Amino acid sequence: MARIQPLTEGVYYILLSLTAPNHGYGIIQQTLEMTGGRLELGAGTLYGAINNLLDKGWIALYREEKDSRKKKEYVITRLGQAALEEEMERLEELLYNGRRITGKGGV
Amino acid sequence: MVKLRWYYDKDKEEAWLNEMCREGWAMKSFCLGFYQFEPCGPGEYIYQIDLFTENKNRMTHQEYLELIQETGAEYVCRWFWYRIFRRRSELGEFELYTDNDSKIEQYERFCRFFRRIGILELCILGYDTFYWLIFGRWIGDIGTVFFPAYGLLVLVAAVIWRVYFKMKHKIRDLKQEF
Repeated sequence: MARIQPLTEGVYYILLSLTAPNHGYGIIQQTLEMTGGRLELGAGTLYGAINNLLDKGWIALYREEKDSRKKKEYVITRLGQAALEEEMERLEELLYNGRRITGKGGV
Repeated sequence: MVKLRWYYDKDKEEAWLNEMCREGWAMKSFCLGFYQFEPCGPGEYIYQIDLFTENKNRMTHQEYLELIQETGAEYVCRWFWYRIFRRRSELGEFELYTDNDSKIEQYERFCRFFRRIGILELCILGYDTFYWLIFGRWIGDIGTVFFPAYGLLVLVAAVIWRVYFKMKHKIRDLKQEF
């Protein structure tokens, strides 16, 4: 599985929020929580990202309730999980080199 | 209050709606260039405009609207593919697209839309011009009536393509930011 580009911050947190099934607004809330209120995903940004991730097969519809009032939930797929892990490795490398060279942020 | 305006550039349109709102007029509906406003507190809302195109088999229009509404925004109105939302400014900054990648995607959606109607305009123009060259009169000739119509077509086509290239420019600028 070759990934071409680093993930955007938004996509990274969306994938993290979907390690357990979650619905759209839940992703926004969870991202806010994880980042201590720093990153508030715009609804349009999230909508586009969910569609893109569905296209890529990185996330999937978790279950569609017969009861249409219930919100749709999405969940990360194995492909998405692999992409997330690959991104974490990349981020770790960034951080490792940053710390090593500047000597800041603890080794 | 009703105002008649023609906007092709959604950024300018958004800026105008927000300016009207700062002056105490909240836009509540749109039809054929007529914007209807009702009084509101100065700067009570922040407006955002989007272009919705259904992505088959993906999140539906309903989900799209619900997601935006869940963030505390209100669905003001629609006009064909255009969607207008607003949120109370006391809830903080309101932006549908919060990162460059998704802003670029939004502009690209507008660009595709403008390219389509721009090409359609050029086809109609071409046909009209061709007809005039061959037959020496305007289509459906009722004397002078059709020359102004032709002029209007030229004008609209020019505006559409201008906005198209402006958006392309904005995409380029966003791509250069990092």
